[in-house]
Amino acid sequence: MSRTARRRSFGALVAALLVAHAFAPSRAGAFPGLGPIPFDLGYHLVWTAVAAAAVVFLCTAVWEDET
Amino acid sequence: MSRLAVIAAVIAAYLVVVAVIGAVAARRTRANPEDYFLGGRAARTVVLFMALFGTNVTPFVLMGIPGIAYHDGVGVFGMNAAIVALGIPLTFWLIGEPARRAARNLGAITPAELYARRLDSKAVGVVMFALFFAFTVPYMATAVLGVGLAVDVLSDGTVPFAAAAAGILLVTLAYTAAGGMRATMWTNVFQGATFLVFVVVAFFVITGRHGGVAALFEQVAAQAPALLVKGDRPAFAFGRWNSWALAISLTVIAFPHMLVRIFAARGPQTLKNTCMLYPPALVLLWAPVVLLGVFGAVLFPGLEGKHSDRVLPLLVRADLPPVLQGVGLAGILAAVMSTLDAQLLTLSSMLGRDVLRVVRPDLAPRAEVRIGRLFTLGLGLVVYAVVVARPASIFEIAAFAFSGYVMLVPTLYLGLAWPRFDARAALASMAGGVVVLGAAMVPEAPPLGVLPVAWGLAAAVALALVVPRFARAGPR
Repeated sequence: MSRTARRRSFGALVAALLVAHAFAPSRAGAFPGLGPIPFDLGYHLVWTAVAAAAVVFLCTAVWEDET
Repeated sequence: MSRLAVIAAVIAAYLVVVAVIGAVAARRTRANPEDYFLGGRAARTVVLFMALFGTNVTPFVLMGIPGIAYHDGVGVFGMNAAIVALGIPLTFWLIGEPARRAARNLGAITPAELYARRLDSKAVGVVMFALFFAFTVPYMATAVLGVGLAVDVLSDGTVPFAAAAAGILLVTLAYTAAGGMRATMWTNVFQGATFLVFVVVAFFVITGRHGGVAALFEQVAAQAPALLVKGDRPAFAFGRWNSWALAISLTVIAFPHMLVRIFAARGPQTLKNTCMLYPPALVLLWAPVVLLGVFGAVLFPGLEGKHSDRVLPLLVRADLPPVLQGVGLAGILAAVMSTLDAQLLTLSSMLGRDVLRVVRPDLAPRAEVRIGRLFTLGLGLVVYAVVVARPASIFEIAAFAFSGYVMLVPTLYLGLAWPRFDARAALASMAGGVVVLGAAMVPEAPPLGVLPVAWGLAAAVALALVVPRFARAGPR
């Protein structure tokens, strides 16, 4: 994957995360697969996990050292 | 041994460890500004991460956030921690690393000095110092306020609030003035570990004593179900939610004490490693404190308004054995000291390099360090005066400071990324942003449901982009 393609992929991922944060759904009950964790907390825990993956992608594939 | 004696012994042990680390660091610190203020720009991953994370975590997180979650519920996690987990690494990449590189190349030690040199304007340095000072003093006050509250609750009022605040300031002043950046970064490793371990252990012990997390969720669902959904609370309305996301994710890179620590990084890989550690560390810290605030609402009902800042110390007092209560207080002290030392050191270094050197360009390096130490003492007294006045809740004071810092972000970014961005644009952007922020804070309800920080930032961005275009036509 070229540098431009990596940057674009990362930009798209960040944009998707920002939209998912801005329009975060809210509902009663537990988040599927997270035991008793409420949906509104579970949603943002999952969001943070995806954001963490995006940060790893940033640091290993997008962020290039400049001299 | 009485409960208070056990707590005092744990705190004494904690302070001895901090003092020893500070003394060892002081021995290794040379009396030149680069070594005193930046630890020789040699911080590796663990030290840098703990220094940044420790500086980043204050009673705003350990006491202010449980206090807000007590009223607003689990949505507080998404409103703060989630967006910050992305925002901090992004801003470290876009602003932190270019600033670190430029600071090294230009020999700059403080953020104000970097931008003054970069934009070739001493006025930029002086204005930046003034704004950093104006927003850092209240932020420092939140830290000391948190200690006062914690000590007050855990000592059953035996140790007066004012004495606790004075004590924490004195100890922090001592090792910061003696050992400079190396002392603050080394002590931050121990301090960061102390409050992280405490929060995790306290969460499991407290929830365990009440039947576990699932049982507590059932209790909340029965007694205060509204805390388990964001619902239609004003704090989570679309405009507020997103403008707060803007503030909380952009403000950290504009903390002068964070930027200076980034300058102290050994290289880009160190900063990248730090970025990757941030999201999991944030979840490890924030999820427990938010949930303890929510559970506190059913375990200690009836705390009105800013009194909910006491919920974490109350839970600790009620559910942890004396040794862990002492560790809890040490954890809060650690969060305070690790931020306070960085703020004291950074402001004192900026005074020397960005103000005194403008007035006295021939100032010797040793004199600069000496004046920096004296200023640190004076600053401690100013903060103490604010703390004793107790102006508002921890969250409210911190929100004011965070909003102010954000007004500098356009200058911090464009000053490094856009060659046409000049001193006039920087001054217009910072001043315009602060004026609009202040004006937007006047009405009781935020205009159009959007927090003042968003209006101020919009003005700062607009001026930053427009002024260089007008300047193009005139003499440069």
